[in-house]
Amino acid sequence: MSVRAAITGLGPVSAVGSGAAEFWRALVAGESGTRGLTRFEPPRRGCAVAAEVREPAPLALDPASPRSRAVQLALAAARLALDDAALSLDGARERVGAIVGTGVGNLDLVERALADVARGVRVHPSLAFRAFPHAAVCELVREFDLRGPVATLSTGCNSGADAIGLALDWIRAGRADAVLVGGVEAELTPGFFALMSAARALAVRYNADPSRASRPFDAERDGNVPGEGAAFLVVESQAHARARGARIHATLAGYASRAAGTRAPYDPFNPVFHPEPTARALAAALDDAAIAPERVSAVSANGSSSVFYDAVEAAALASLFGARLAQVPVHSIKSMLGQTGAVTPALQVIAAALSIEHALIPPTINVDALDARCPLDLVRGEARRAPLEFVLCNATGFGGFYFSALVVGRDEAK
Amino acid sequence: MLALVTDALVELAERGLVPRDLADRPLEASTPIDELGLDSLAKLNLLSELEERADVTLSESMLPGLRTLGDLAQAIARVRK
Repeated sequence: MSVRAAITGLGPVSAVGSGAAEFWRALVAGESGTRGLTRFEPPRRGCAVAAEVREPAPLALDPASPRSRAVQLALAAARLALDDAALSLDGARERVGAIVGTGVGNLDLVERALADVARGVRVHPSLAFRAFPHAAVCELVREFDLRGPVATLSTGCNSGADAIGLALDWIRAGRADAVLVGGVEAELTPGFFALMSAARALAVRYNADPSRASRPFDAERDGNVPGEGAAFLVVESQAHARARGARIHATLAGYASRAAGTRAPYDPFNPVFHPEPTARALAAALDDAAIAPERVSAVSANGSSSVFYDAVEAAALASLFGARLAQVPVHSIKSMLGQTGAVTPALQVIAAALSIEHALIPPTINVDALDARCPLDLVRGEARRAPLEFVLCNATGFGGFYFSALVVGRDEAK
Repeated sequence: MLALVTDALVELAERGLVPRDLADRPLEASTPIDELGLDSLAKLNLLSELEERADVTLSESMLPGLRTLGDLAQAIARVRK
């Protein structure tokens, strides 16, 4: 029996809504958060769609703030998670840790600083502190007077999954009683769009129909739709959560990551599918949770609307579940939220916890015709009611260098 | 459209961004892309150069299955319409 951690606080800040209740309502309703990009002029001929976090309510995001957008998003999400957990930090601050996963860090500040430097304008001294990737965890420490262990992980789109995995390790090892953990990504910047367009990773065919641009596993998908947001959780030892009478949404049962090793480079004309590293990560996460694949009730897919990786993921799920593949419901929240980098895995865990609580799997939107290479039982159209014991969450990092997976389970006392 | 593809290859060869011998080789519609000696980054360089020259976007979903320079030229012609 593997030790699980209790998930007691949920703090999503996303393009479909912020706070667990609004986030869940929008997911179940199948509301798209992808719209025409408003933040800046999209690159010529490139992707002009994004999942922007709407302002101002309920967040006080300030474009003129010296804080990066990532830090502002992270602070808002962390506060939501702590409030949801009703966790008092008084008296035990050294036993509460904080871990932040982020792919691009504070890219908005870095881009502005580089532009200032190029124009010969003096940059503000505080940028030295605000621009580094660990700025978000430093600001969480200051905001909430945290005094326990802290870490920042940057492992691309897996960052949120790896951060949550590390939190589980800390709880299991007794390094902390509770961990404020999540992901943040403020990647809607001109530089990011230029980079990802050059890498041919973004959807370009749905600029005129932005709510339909993110279509995981659909035959007509055409690339990722970038998004932004933050998502934090409070993860605790079960003993700590029960001792303080906390509401336990779900449990964190297992985690693993696996590298791909040496492989043939990506060839746009002749893509070669290597599902094996993904399958190894998924199997290792189930091993860590000490459960057999038969006990997985649903899969929260990486499903990013990538022409290439969606097919790789489907093949990996086929190898994990074998003949049972057609009986395992799969859904992708990215159909509504776009590809929000490090945030997505944390949003997947939040959605999985709420799915288990409500016995309901949100739909995958925009799937008009399932790609024949992805023969999944994809939850489409409407949310599907189903009692759920374990939800397997899959996360793929950009470039396919390595893969992470998390297992979310029902509260063991229920 | 084939000339656009071969001109791009020759210029990239002269700049050292794809194998330099491509500047001196016969490049025809039937020339297989796989026989140009391009690694994956060189292929991305070629696609980026073609997009600039033709003022088109070649999405990831269009590319698998293109075998020859002629196939590539036709794909560009299709999205240019």
